[in-house]
Amino acid sequence: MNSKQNNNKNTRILEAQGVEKVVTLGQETIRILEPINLAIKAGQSLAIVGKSGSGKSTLLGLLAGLDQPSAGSIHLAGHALTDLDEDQRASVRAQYVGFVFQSFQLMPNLTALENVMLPLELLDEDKPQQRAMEMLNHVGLSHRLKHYPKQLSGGEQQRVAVARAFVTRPALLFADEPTGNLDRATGSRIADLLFQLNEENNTTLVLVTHDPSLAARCELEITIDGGRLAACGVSETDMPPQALGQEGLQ
Amino acid sequence: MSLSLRIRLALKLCWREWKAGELTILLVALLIAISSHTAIGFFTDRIEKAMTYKAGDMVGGDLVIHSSRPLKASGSESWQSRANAAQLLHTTVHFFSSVVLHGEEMLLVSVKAVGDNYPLKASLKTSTSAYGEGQTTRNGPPTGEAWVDARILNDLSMEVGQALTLGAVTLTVSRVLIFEPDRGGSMYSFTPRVMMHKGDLARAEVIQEGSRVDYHTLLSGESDAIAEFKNWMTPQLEPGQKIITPGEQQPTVGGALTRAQRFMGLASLIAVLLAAVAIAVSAKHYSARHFDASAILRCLGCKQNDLMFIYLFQMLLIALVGSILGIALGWSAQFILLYLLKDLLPEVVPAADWHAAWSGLGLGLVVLLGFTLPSVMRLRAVSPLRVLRKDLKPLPLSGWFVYGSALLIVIALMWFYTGSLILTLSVLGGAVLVFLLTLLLIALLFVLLEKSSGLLSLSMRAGLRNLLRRKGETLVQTLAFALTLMAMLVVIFIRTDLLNNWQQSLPDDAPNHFVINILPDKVPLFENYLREQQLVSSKIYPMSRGRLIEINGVPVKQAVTKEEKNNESLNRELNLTWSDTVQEENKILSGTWWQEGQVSDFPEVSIESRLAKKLGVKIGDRLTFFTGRQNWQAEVTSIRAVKWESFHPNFYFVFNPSSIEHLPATYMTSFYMAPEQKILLKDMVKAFPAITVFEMDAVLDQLKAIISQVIVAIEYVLLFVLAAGLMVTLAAVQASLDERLQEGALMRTLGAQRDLIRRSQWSEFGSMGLIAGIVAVLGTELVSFLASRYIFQADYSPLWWAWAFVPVAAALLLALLGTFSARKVLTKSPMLVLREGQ
Ligand SMILES: Nc1ncnc2c1ncn2[C@@H]1O[C@H](COP(=O)(O)OP(=O)(O)O)[C@@H](O)[C@H]1O
Ligand SMILES: [Mg+2]
Repeated sequence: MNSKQNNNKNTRILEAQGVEKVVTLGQETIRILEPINLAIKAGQSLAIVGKSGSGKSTLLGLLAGLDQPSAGSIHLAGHALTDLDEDQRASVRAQYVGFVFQSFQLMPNLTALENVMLPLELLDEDKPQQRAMEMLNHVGLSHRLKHYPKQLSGGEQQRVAVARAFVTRPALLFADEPTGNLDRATGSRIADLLFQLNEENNTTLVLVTHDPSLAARCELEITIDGGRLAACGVSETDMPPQALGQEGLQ
Repeated sequence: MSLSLRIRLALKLCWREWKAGELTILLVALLIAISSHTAIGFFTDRIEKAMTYKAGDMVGGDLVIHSSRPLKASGSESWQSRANAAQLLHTTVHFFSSVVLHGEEMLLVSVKAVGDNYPLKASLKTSTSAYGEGQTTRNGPPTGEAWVDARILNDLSMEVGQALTLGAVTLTVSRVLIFEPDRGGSMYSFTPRVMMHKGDLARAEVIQEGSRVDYHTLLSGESDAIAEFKNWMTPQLEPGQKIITPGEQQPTVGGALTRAQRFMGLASLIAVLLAAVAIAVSAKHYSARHFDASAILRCLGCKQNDLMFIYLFQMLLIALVGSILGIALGWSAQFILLYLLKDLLPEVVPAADWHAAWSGLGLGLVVLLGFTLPSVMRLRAVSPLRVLRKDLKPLPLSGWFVYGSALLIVIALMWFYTGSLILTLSVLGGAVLVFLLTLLLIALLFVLLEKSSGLLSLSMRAGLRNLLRRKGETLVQTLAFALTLMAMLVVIFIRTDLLNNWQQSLPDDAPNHFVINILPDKVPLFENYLREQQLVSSKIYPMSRGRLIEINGVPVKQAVTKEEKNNESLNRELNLTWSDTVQEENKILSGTWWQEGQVSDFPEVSIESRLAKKLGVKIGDRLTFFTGRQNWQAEVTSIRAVKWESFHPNFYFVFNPSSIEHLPATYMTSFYMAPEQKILLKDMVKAFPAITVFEMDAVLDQLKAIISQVIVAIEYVLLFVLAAGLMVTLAAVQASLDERLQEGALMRTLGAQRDLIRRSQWSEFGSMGLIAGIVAVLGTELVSFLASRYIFQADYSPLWWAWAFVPVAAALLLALLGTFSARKVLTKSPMLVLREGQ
């Protein structure tokens, strides 16, 4: 369990080199992502911002190993994702990665508790139920264990999703507009929860968001525009651009 | 919104949805359902007609009119000109009894005088020597010649080529008769046959004023023309005239035909049910997919009625297109079937009626509209607010009224189609049972799983949860599959039942020769003879002849109902026998059989059940018989079911030995003789000159040919039902595919390997198949019970083989089919989770 948690601040937990994505629709080929380099160290948090349709989710998916880039390579916790097949990437995800989505993406056929148990079960870990209950308790949902997603409000669903994401204490957490479907107050409570857990678990966070205030809470921030890395900034914490990788963020 | 705008909008939306693939499933489901329904309809219609046509061979024509006078129509038009105008072939055959002479010997024979057209259908089988090799001919004897039964040669001590005298003519015996297609009911008659040409009748001077002659007018031709002629002729029949249509006369062929027809009705019925299930599944899916679209249309200003119109119009369009394409497809499919079967079918297979097409069209409209209306009505209620709040689903409507009326229409259609309410209801009863059992079993499974979910592996748990969550969908899918399986099982069961009934009665070594007139003192010798020649025979029964004259002291003609006055068992001498034990395949339906060796003061008799019913005879009734010179009474102590088709010696009346043992009797039995042994017959007849042998093998061969044809047809119809059933299951899986893709992607995002998802799919579909299998066998048991009870009048026995085999096979089949049709879940990129909701 500790092995997969990389506490060494100097290790690059995630690194992308020349990653690009091209899709063909009929005869047209669309370049969704221009070649992108980036690197992030364990425990850091990175915000990806940009207009709708700029390619943020595409980048996130590639970084998390949900999809393969058309060119370039990605290393996640020492695994070259681009050399792995779908099943091998799945087991990397199971070990190192948690997800939170804009549209919650809970398994509709599972209760809140079962949803949170699922990643533990996939890893075949001990006492999944107890740990899932603790986690749900932690996010303030101990009274909703037996409820199905349908029976929960948006905020509650997202809290279940956050609990599910953190229950395996992943090294990396990917969040795609986690507050996008929620009202401001609920959204900010979810954001608080995310950053709190991030802090507690020393998780590396990759966050796609529209919300400048949310982005501002991250150590690093990059902006995507039309598939291109448009800007990179370091917010609040005084992190030198070199921390982002050899070539920096250009 | 104006009507034309509505229509234009509906058409445009329909076209767009078609392009986007939204309507494909619904249309394909309908297409498959209607095409299988119509293919079976067309095909069974034609096969049925072909079989009727074939059965015509057994009575010598497609229509036979029996008459005691030369047939003439009372109207202005003669039946001949009518028949000729309808291009019907016809010929009249004269039957009468007469005595023939050869040298010193004389013999009472049954003469059949035929014309040049004879036989209209099928062929005669004759030989150039007694019990010799048979040849088929399509004509009767020419003038101056006679063709005779082999026993005549024996009885008159003559050879082929010699002459016999009939009245004033001398006819040369040129051939030995082996088989007459139209011997029909007179197959068992005891007087041997002489067949001659009608042209010799006048010269023979045997038919005088007042002689009894039976005229059989045979007609054959197009089935429509035959039916029309029958309709025209029926009202003009005079007393003593009656119309016989193929299948009526011979119990075995008639039974086979009715059973085959019933079977095919059942197959159509099952296709109808499957169609309804497929449509319902697809329609539900369709409406769920249209919640968003409806909300958006409402936002854009569509009124509820506009929406209703647009969707109904689309449904109507789909129904029409699906039905018409389905009918076309079904029409082509039956040609392929006919082509595959061409060796087994007669050269001319009559064209199909269009009623299968009409019923297909009607069915398409009824089923599609009937089963989509509740969903469409739900769409009408979609709140425009849904565009803002996705979770706003319209309340599920109470579809009871709509489903109920759709069901009623389907029942009416099925009834119309099968012509049997009992059949319709028993299948529906089975379906209702399947429905209830599925509910019950799934509920049970819920509890079971809840209890044991800790024990299962993750993949199995994942699969079973999938199964349990979509309770509604799971129910429908399991129901659909269970119904399919049940349909197939019922078909298989009924087919086996048909086969069993025939095959039990006609095993390979079923007796194919009857022998009568075995003299009492020759019985041991004859038994010895059979044993020496290694001929498998039935028991030897004593036989005495007598008439039934009174029931409870009332003369029979007064005691029975009007329709039964002419029952042939009342008008002729009956074969009476006695026995200590019940004949092998006879079954006592009521009363009790006498104790072996028991001497009773009053004669006891056991009567055959159908005759008992016709004559209204009950246990305890006293029957008066006339034998030889005396009247005597016996009390009915039991009623027996008899399988006449078995070709074992069977009797209407069996007495307890002590009551009539003293009557003069000869003995009879039946035995099996292979074709290559037939030469032995000559030797047998020489060794026992008194006996009379009836050769039934040619008749049996003809029967078997018809039966094997029916079986092939049944197997092909089974294939159709199977295909339709699998398609329903595919449609059901297809309906849940979107959800599955999303969930599969999510599982994989969370780190599940494909193998785990594969295994979870296996356990999901496998357990669904298992439940469906169990439920289907249960439902089949019910249908089979009802069917054997009310339709086949056969014994019911539990389907052990089905219990052992079906649930496992169903699990395997559904797992394979399900994982195959959901295989995209394993290949679709998990990126899907990032795309949804955007
Ligand atoms: N598989 C695909 N095929 C075609 N276009 C795609 C595909 N995936 C993404 N896109 C397009 O790429 C662009 C970026 O999409 P996305 O990464 O979802 O943007 P964002 O998350 O920033 O809103 C969009 O224009 C989207 O339509
Ligand atoms: Mg996005």
